[in-house]
Amino acid sequence: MSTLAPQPNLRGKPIGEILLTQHKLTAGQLNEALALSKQWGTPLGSVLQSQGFVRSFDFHRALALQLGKDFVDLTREPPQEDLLRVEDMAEYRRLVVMPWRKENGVVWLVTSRPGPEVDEFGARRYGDRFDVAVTSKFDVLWMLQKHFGAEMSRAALSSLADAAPEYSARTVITPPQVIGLGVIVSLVFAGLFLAPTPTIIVINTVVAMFYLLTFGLRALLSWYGAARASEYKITASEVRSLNDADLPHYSVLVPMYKEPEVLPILASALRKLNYPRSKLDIKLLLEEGDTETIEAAKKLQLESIFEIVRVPPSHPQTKPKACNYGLHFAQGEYITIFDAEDKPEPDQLKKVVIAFRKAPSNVACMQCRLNYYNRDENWLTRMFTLEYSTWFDLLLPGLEALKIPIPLGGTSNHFKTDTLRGLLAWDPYNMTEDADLGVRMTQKGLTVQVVNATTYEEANTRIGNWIRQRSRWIKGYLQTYLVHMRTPAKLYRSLGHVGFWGFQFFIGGTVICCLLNPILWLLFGGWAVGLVGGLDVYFPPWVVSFSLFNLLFGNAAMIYFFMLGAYKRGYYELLWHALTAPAYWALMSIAGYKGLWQLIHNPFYWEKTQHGISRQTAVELAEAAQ
Amino acid sequence: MSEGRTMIATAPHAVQSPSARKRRALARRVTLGWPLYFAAWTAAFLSLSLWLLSRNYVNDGALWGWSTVIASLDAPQGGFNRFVLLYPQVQYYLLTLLSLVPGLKTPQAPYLISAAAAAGLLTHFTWRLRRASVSWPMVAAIVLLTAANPVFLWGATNGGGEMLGITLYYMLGLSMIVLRYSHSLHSHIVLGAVLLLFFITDARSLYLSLTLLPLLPLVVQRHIMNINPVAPILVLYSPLVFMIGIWFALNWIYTGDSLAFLKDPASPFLGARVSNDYLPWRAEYGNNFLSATAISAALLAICYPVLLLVQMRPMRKTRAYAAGLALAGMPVFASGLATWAEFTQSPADILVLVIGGVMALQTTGLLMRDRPAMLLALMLAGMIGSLALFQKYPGVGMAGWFDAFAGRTAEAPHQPDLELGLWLRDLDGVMIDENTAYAVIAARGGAKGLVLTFSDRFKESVNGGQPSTNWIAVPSLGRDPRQVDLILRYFPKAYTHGLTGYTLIYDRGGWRVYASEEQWRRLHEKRGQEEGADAT
Repeated sequence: MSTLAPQPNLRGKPIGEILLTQHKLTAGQLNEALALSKQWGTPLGSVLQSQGFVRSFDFHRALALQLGKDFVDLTREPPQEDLLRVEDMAEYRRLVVMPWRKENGVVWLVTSRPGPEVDEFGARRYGDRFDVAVTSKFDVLWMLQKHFGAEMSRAALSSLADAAPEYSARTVITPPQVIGLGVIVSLVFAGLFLAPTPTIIVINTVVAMFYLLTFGLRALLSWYGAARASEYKITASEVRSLNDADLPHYSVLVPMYKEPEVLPILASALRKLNYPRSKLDIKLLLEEGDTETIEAAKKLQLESIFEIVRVPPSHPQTKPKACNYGLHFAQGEYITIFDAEDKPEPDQLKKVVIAFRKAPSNVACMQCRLNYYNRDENWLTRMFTLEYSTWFDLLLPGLEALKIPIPLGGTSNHFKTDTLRGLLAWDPYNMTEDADLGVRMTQKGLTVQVVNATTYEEANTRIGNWIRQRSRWIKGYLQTYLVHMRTPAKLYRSLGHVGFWGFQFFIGGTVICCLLNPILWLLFGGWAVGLVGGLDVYFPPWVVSFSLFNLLFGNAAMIYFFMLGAYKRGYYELLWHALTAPAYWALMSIAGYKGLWQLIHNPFYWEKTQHGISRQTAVELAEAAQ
Repeated sequence: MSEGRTMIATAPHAVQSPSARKRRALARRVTLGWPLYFAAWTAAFLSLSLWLLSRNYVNDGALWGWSTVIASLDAPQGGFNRFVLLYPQVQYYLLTLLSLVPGLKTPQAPYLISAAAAAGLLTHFTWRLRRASVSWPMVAAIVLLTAANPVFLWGATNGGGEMLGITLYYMLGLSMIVLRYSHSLHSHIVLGAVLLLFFITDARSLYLSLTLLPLLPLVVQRHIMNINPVAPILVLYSPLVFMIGIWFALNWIYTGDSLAFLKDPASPFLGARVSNDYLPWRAEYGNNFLSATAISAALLAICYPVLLLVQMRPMRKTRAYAAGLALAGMPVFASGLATWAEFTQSPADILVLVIGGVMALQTTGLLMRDRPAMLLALMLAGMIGSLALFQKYPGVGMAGWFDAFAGRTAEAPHQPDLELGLWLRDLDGVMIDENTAYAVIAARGGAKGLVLTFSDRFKESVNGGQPSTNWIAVPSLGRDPRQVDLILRYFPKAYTHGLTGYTLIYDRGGWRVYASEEQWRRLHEKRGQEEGADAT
């Protein structure tokens, strides 16, 4: 039955001694691990594995010897499938346990964490007719994925859509929204037919007012975001004063797809996190079909804190779906997401823990700032950096200050794991699932705060790649807007006045301005060079005044906000480049129309952003190799 | 014990102590006190202004401003754009707002703005001094000496834009001090915004903004200057530069000439350059930057000896010291530069603003900390110094103001304009150049029925070579050599020889009014009917 019989002479000996005896560990490593175990407040075994001193397999074999239990190698002796029960899946994951065999009426449970909790589970499920054997943690998790993968994948895809369809983008536009939109379009056409000039004047006025309010909101957000209070939330001394033993377990999800080249960078960056490794639970979420990345991950022989989770294929195959799948296995009290090319600042997790401890209980998420490590590469990376600096350093803190829903950034958003599960996590049908989640949280009375810790990413270096990425974001923003505007009255009630209008002009404004900009620019350009005439009738003086204000003051102000963002971040050399922002906005408009087109024709298609194409990647790889 | 605590927590009003109630009442009184304080100062300055006006003192700038506003408000098209595009516009916005208040559509409105601005500034100044823990007696002495300073009084009562300029310089000073202390992004934004606001309030600000540039290392964080000295300049000056760029664009869009605001004959950005008069200051120091700067520094010391305290402890030991140096240096170089550019007609043009900077420095509470008596003595000396300076080199309109202040009643100015304005009051379709006839329009009380230079009808009339309006009013060429009437530019003989199809019907005080033949005929018919009726 068992693959390795217990050796009575080692039973009851300290695990370190057993491993020393087996030459799986050196004395120096043991001493270091013992010190860390004390410092971190975690069992020696976790430290040994997380530091990479002992492989998970060897450790659990030694553990079996210590406990006098059998050790099972599940890859050689897989479990009896008929014993696995879907309804116990959550317990299997939580306790890292599963029923293995039934022999003579006794059910053998295999676990990597033998102890009272597992015994209690066994007793509850099988009465006194069970016994426990030890196995490797990864064996259990792999087996669970193998047997329940399809079920968990289905849950990852449809939990939200089934339980709270009103928050899911699975339905792009609801029938009432179609009717509402139809009524508006009909009214416009009727107006154009019956009274064309007044109708066009009304449209121009509405557009001008919309721009004015959008600019006004941005100005307000920049003002609030520039406040000193938003810069020094968590200080270095607060981080230093943290006791490692008091830190909670932390899960990190890293969804990846066809990005083998950046894996070493990621691993290096995550290893540098200033957080007890034994409390880290890092899931590399790799698509099952992405053998290239899976093989690359295996080759790296990562420490046990890294766990490869193979995400079963599905339609749609999106990042939020992968994250939802990974969430099934998350063990941490807190959870965060990093992209494959991310380089979080080492103290980020600690800062977040402090921020959560200081925050009111309704704070469910901490958003860290994003920025780029390859900002000097070309014009596009500079502009992208300016945009992100403004977005994360000025606008998001401003949103937080004004209590307007924060559209979360794609990565480095940290959640309380239980709260995230309670919210049914991310919407896999939404292309900006993070932004959507931010709004959904606010609707549920939860709040998001911005923390002064940064994750550095790889800025897109190629325009085509950038447009693909941006079109996905704009499509996602459109989805988010449509989802939350299904019942505007309810949204108004849940967000309040400021939140509701902030949502309209921040989320809605971003997209609508993006789509309208080229039309208005062309109109103005045509008029300026004399190609377009006769506009006076449609633009009465006061509409012209508003429109010119928006065009001149609004755009100048937006350029200035870019400068402020870069200044706040300390990227002084980028300030000049803010003057070229209009060209960048033109690119955004191209991406905007692409996103709109895709929303209509292919709403759930995930436009993949290619990473690892930056010149900086080679440097990062060299650094990671060191 | 715990019950008591619960009671306090749930029903604070029920158990609050009498002293707490007193404190609340005191807080309410203090809250109410500031508006009352402001109102009292406003009333005081306005009364003084009205007294000066009763001595026939009139500030041409105020009259011009008021005329521009009412002409713009009554213009059928594009009038509003006129002052938005051509002049520093804050005062015009304020006048427009005032004109909407019933009873305040009066030529005295500019004086109310000066008085209110001065009162607002003094109120904020007093509040800041108290916040800096300066004792009440000392605050009272400082505030009274400031309010009584001829520079401040001139600004508070002249109806021009001086007091707004002084207020902006005060704000500039405060924001520089705050930036020097905090280096926060907020303080950068505020300083940038003040520079922008200053520009759209007062044309002199351009020289001050330019001279602040080399002095920025005194106020901006040193490590940023070491890393990238251009960055703070971009953050602080972009709003101003963008505003200027926008102004170019708007001028181009509306007038077809992006430099129209500089070419306008009344452009405040040209200052004394357009004047053909002999101006002693310009004659002595114009085109001579070094001499003008040196003498400006000396005059600054005479007018504002208080600034010498910046060099002493405790100011010298603080971060405000560097800001103080910048605030003292900026007007000196600005005056030199503006004189070199022949913008100023007197050193007072720039130096009057400095009182705002001195007030800003006083709000730190440092100037008076160790030497309160010396501060007051220097303030007194400064009053005498500025009086002497402004007597020697009076700024625009100062001489008349001093005369009125001394109780001398001048001849009523603009009397012919006043008469013409009243005569034109009920006429419709009068073609007139508002630049030369600003006093006429102010006297008329509105521009309804006037065909002004920015209107399409005016342009059609002059471009067509033959006016089509009912009436045409033109001044004599010698009336104001600085200002060429636009009608006379197109019809040079209009005053002397008249116009084809028009008959002269008014000729008084350097003004002639012509009536079209149709209007002439109607006038005759009307007069005939009136005479017939009288005969009957």
